[in-house]
This record gives sequence, structure tokens and C-alpha cells, in this order.
Amino acid sequence: MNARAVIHIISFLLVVVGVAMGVCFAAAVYFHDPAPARFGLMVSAAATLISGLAAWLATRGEHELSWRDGIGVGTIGWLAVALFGSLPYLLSGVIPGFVSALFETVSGFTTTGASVIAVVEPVPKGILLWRATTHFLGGMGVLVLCVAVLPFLGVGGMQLYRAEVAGPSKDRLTPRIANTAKLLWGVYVLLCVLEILMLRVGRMGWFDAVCHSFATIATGGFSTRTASIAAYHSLYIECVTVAFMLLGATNFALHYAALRGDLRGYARDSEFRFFAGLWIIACTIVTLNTWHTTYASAGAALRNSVFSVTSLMTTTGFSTANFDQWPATSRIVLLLVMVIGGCVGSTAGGIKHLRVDVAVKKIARRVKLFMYPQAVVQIKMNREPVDEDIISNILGFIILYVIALAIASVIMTAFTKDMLSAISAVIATMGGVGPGLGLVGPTMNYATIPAAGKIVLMLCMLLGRLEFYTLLALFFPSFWKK
Amino acid sequence: MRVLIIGSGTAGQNLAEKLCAEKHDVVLIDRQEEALAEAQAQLDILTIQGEGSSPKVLDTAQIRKTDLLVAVTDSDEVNMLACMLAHAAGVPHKVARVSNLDYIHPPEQFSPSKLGIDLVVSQKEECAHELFNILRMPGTLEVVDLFEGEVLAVGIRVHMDSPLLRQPLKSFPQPELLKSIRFVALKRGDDMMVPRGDTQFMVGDDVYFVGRPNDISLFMTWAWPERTSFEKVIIAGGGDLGLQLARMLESTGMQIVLIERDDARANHCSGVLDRTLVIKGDAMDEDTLKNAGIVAGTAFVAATGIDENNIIGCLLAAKCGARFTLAQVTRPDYVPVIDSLSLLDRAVSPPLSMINAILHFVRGKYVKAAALFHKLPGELLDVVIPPKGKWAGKAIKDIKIPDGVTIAGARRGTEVLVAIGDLVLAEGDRLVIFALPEAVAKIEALFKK
Repeated sequence: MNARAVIHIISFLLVVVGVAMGVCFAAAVYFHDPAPARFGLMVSAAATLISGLAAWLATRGEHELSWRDGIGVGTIGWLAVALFGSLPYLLSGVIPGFVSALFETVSGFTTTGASVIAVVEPVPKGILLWRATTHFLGGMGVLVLCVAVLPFLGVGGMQLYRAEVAGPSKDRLTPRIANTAKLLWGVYVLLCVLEILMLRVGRMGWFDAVCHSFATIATGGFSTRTASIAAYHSLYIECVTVAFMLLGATNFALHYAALRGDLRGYARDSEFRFFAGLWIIACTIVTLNTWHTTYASAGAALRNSVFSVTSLMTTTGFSTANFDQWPATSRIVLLLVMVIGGCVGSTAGGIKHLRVDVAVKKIARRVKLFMYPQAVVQIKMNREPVDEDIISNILGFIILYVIALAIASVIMTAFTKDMLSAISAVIATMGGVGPGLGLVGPTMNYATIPAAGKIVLMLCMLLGRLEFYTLLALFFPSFWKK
Repeated sequence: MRVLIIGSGTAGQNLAEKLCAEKHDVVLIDRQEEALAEAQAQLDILTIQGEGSSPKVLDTAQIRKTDLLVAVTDSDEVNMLACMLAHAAGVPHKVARVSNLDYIHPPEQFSPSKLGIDLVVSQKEECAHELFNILRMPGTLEVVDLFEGEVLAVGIRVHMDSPLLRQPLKSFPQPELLKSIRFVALKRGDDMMVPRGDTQFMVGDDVYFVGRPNDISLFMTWAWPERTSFEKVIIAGGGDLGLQLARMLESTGMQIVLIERDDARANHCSGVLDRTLVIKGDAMDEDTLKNAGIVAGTAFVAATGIDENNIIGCLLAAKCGARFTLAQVTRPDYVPVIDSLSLLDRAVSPPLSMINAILHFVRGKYVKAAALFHKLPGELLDVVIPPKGKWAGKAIKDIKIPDGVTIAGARRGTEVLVAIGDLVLAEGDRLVIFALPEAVAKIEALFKK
């Protein structure tokens, strides 16, 4: 591994993080935050910027990033960003305890939204903005930002891009990966701005609108209110949030095509159709199930069901209702949509619809071959046959995901008393959702989980966000050899 | 510029690498997924799997946004059809690799330009030209014509007994001659530099200079007294390349022998050629070589289709007493290895020869490319000082010339000027500029119309 090149790029990540902290410090000054918050943000911003700039200058020069260096930047970069990102929480004293602060940061950058803060309202605004900013940076990805901005990455840039953009086939929108990264970030920022304006129309304050927009498009889920979106009691705000959560969980390549005038791209995309279909089915089941059991009126059942299904399926994790109290059928459906998650090339987590779609088609093919042994059946996505290699990669990924879920759940039972809390905590962190069921339900938080358990869950979040392989590569000795 | 390359073979991949390094947006199309995966792993380009002559595939590749299409698959028909489709889609520049002579020189009504193909390049023809130039000017690494042949750019390698080793350039016995020659580059190992008056040459240096042909010969006779032209050229392999080379050489005074193993092919060669001695036999066989008569002034060219045979053949010929050996090597990976073999003097790679011709064409879009040195990174660019140009009215020594750039020659009207420091440039002057790869873009920016 070319250590100088890796450090050079990671130092750039730190500069970005440092600048973002600086902005939050400015906000803290503007909102007259208490002294510890201002001090914490100022010192963290200064420390991050200085370390970043020093490392950048120390490793100046010609750098060519190789394939393997790209993986190094991906994983080590994320760890470095998480470490520095936890400084504001620690120094301001908002979250005492290193592991808890790190948990909040990793949860932010991986756009999970699992929080250790029980009551959000007293937290200084600068810190809340930093919490939302970690979502914003982690949503489209700091590495993708790197690829967009740094000119010298070469082939290693593709590796960085792969590490962060979810999915088995990474569509390039342009021949140069840097331009693709720029376009994706452009679409991402545009969506954020759009949502801020839409939320403003619904009478949400500027500050809340910005924080919620960051948390929605990134499918994160950190709110500025303890009661999350429910605190606003506004159907309009809920509708806007649902719409933007869905947009955040859709392949950004489709948004790009739509912006260029190809609105029918959504309808043509087989993954998006699968996503929409599952979403409608899940909403219907949960609405019917909660009607009469939890909610007396069909309207309330529909409103809360659609919001919760969307929030969990897009792996955002906002809540308007305590779905932990819902009947068993609804809760199981919610758990399942959490596992599946959003679309590839989006900011959402989970296994992703494309993979599930291919797996379902693979099973259908088996059944067909069982009936007609001589049949020739091609698995198709977007009317094109899918390569056998890609299919086996996808199945391998699903198996890996399920095995990881199983192992982590077993470990987590050591820290929670009941099975459901353990399993749902793992599903909610690996999928980047946030709230789970039981002990980690929508009205609860992760503060009660012991430090060791938090470390396991942090690992789950990183594995889910970086889609396993990037992180797993670090554990192979051959990666570290020259 | 957005470039669409069809065919991810040796030529396609090397071209993609060159263009990608020059910050062009490259899209590569190939039928085979593996060939694309190989390119994708090394280059920041978009790859599309599919048939390059399929309208649907070209549409996916956003042919309408493409500025240049280069079709370099193995199939002439695919290449030409792709160019014709690109023409229909309004692509401004189209290049096709074609090997069938029927297509290259068709009757007028079917000329490539009528089909919308701007440039037809043939790997074999480009390579034959390169070989011919090397044989024509013995002792040189390469010779390039500038200003329609009024000025030559020449590269030589400094040998053990060269007088260049004895003293630095400034103690050259005929200083006035030195003023008429411009040294543009010195390549030592992988380092590049510009030779100056006090530069001390070393064995193995490659020196490149530009000047009028007479001055060049005078200098060459001093720098390389024992330099004599070849009396005889032995070509091993009567394929398209060997045959074409033999035909070109027939215009010179050299004695030519062509060795071809295949009976029918040997007969065909003998029918096409006039004064060449065609021998049927195996060039890898010492007896055949001796039969062909290797004398002291013999150059040996191995142009069979197989790289390994060509390399061994050259070594064998050198052992038998050939003065100069040249091998056709298709795999570019072999070329650096060959540079380290002292018995094999030069290797020429047909795909690279062709790429040079294509790059030459690509350059021509902004600044007229004078020529490319094959063995030297960097290019000779032909530019005209525009009216009110930055450089007009200034002496060369006063111009802020970008790093890695040397003004090699100038022409005003029909008069060739020597680009010395005191020369005052005027608008309309044609200049030949030598620029290292990283400086090419700067010159392009300076002279872009």
C-alpha cells in the first residue's frame, strides 16, 4: 500500500470535516449556544483542520492511487472521519463517554440515525447541526466527494467510488468517474435544497428544515425533536418527508436522467418498479393490520402506516407513531422491509431491491426449470440478461448479509435481555435505519446498550454502509503486504 | 473532447491510455467483456460491451456527443461501418483501421472520405513506413520530415566510440555549424533533458536534433564518422508488412533479400517484386541466413507474424554478422525488454506505429502536428504565430516559453530560419515546437484558434 497517497487523501477528508465543523461553530455563535458547545465545536474544528492540513502538506507531491490503495482510503478514511467527528460531542460534553460519542458519529456518517441522546431539545443548536451534517456528508459519501474534487486519483478513484456507492453494478454516467461523482453530488445537493424549501412552505423553521432535509435525503433519521416528525403535527410535513425519503432511497442515476428530461426512466427501471411494488404491498398490509387494532379510523391507520413503512424501508428512521406497539404482523413486515432497504446507487442501506429482485428471479427460474427441465431461462434486469457472474455475486452478498445479521444478533443477545431487541438492533444498524423494536424502539434510544454492544453495532453500521467487502479486505493479511 | 474507441485490443487500449492521460473523456466499446475488464482496471474510462457497428450500442455510447470516433477492431468491415454510422450521427471526426488494400485505395467513387471516414490507417502500412525510414538513415533512431522535408528531425544513440563523448558540445570543431542545428532533447534512461553547450554526453544517450538536411549530414559525419548506408537488407517473412517494405526499398539502391517459408506466398512475393531476391526457407535456420549472404553492411528485418520468432531471428542474424537488426514486435510489453538486448538494435510495434498516426491526426484538430518521435515521449508541433499573437515581435530568448518546450525550427515564407535565441519572430511565422507530453496541452492552449 502506498501510505503517502492514502494519508494524502485521508487528510483531504479531514479538511472537509474540519470545514463542516467550522460552519457548525459559526452556527453555534449565531444561535448563542452555551459556552461549552461553542468551545467544543471551535476546538474540534481547529484540531481537525490543523491535522488535515498538516498531513496534506506533509504528503504533498505526485500521487497515483492504485486499486488496493483505494480500499485503504475507503476504510481507514471512514475510521479517521468517525474519530475526528466524535470530538464535538465529547468536547462540548453533550455526550460523555468516548464510545457513546463515537457511536453517535458513526451512526451519523453511516446515515443510520441510531442515537444515544434521550432528549434532543436541550442539545445546543450547533451540535444538532453537526449531527445533521454528519448525515449530509455521509449520505452521498465523503469518498465520492473526494473523487469529485481531487483531480489526481486515477484508477484508484473508481475504487473509492465503488467503496461508497451501493450496488453490484456501478453505473457511470460519464466516462470520467470524477464527473460522475460531481453529478451525483450535484443532484444530491439539489434535492436537499428542494426539501428545505418545501419544508419551509410547511412553516418549519429554517434551522429545523435544514437539519431534517439533511437527515431525509441522506436517509439518516436524526431529528431536532425527541418526538421526531410527530412533533410537528402536520400532514403536509409528513407528506413532504415521505416523498423525499422515497427520493433519497431511489437510484440517483434515475434522478439525473429525470433532470435531463427523461421522466419515464423511473417506470422503465426494473429495480424501481420492484421497490414501488413492495412499498405499496407493505403499506397495504400494515394499514389493514393497524386499522381497528391500533387506530380506530382508516385515515389515521393509513397516515401512520405509510409514514412508518416508508421511513423504515428507505432506512431513514423518522417516526410519527410508536410502531413497537403495533400488532405482530405489522412489526414483522416492518422488520422485513428494514432488511431489504432501498435501491442501489441511493443513500439508503439494506440488502437493496436490485439484489432481492435478482434472487427472486433466480428462484423463479429454478421452479421453472423444475417443471420444464429443458427450458432456457435468462434472468433479466431492465430487459437485459444479467451476467451469471453478477448473479452469483449478488447471491453471495445476500448470504454474507444474512450470516452477518445472524452472528451479530447472537452477540447482541449478551447485551439485551430479549431476542427481539437484539435482532432488531442489528437489523436497524446494519441496514442504516436507526430505531428498531423493543429496547431500541422508536420511543427509546441506544444509550442503554453497554459499550461493548455499541462497538458491535458500530461495526454493523460500517459493514452495512460500505457493503462488507471494503471493510473485510482490511482483515486479510495480503492487503497489508507490499 | 469525448472520444469513442471501438476495439479493446492492443491498439485500442494503448490509444485509450494516451488519450485518457491527456484528459479526454474516453468510451471504449468491445465485444468481449474480458478485454474491457482489463482496460477498466487500469484506466478511468467508460466501457460498453457490444458490437461496435451496432447502431443500438453506438446510441448507448451517446454517439451524438462524441467528437472523435476511432474504430480499431480486427475487422475492416466493422471499423468502416462504425465510421459510416458515426458520420450519419454527425460525429465530426472518424478514424478507421483498415488492412485490406482494396479498401485503402479504392476507385475514386468509393473513396473513404465519401463514406465519411476522415482517416484510414493501416497498421502494416504505418509500420512499413517506420521501418523504411529507419533503414534509409542508418545509425539514426528515427528521422522525421518537417516543413515538407526542408528540415529534418533526427535522433541518434551515442555509441562507445562516438566523438560526441570526447568533448562537450561547445568545443565542437565547427561552431558555426552548431548554430544551425537545434538540440531538442536528450533521453538518458528514463530521464529527459534539453542538451546545452556544456552537456557531457554518455554512452547510450539518445540525442534528438533538428536542422536543414545538409547541416544534419555534416553534423552526422562528424558525430558518427564510420556511418555508412546499408548495402543490403534481408527481410524475414513475406507477409503484408515484409512485402510492402521490400517494395518501398526497391526505390533505393540497396540490395534486398526476402525470406519466406511458405511456397505459395514466396511465389506471390516474387511475382509482385522486381529486383528483390526471394528465397524460400526458414529465416530461423542458420544455413538459410548464410545462403541469403549476410555481409558486413547488412541490415536484418524480422517481420514474421510471431514476436518470439522475430526476436530470436534477429539475435541469430546478429551472430551471423548482420550490422543492424530490426524486429517487428506486436506486444508492446516486449519493447522495453528488447531495448536491453545489445544484439537487437530496434523493435517496431505495428499497433504503436498506427497509434502514432492516429494521435497525429487527433492533434491536428487544434495545432497541426508536425510529427511524433516514436521512441521519445513528447511531440513536434507545427504552429503558426497568429496575428497579434503573444510571441510576435519578440526574440526567442525573450519569450517566456513553458517548461518542457523547445522551439526547434522556424520558417518565414519559403525561408527556413534557425531558431537561435536572437531570432525575432513575426506573425505568420511557422514554428516547429518540441513539447514534452505534459506541455503539449499548454502549447495547444496558446495556439488554439
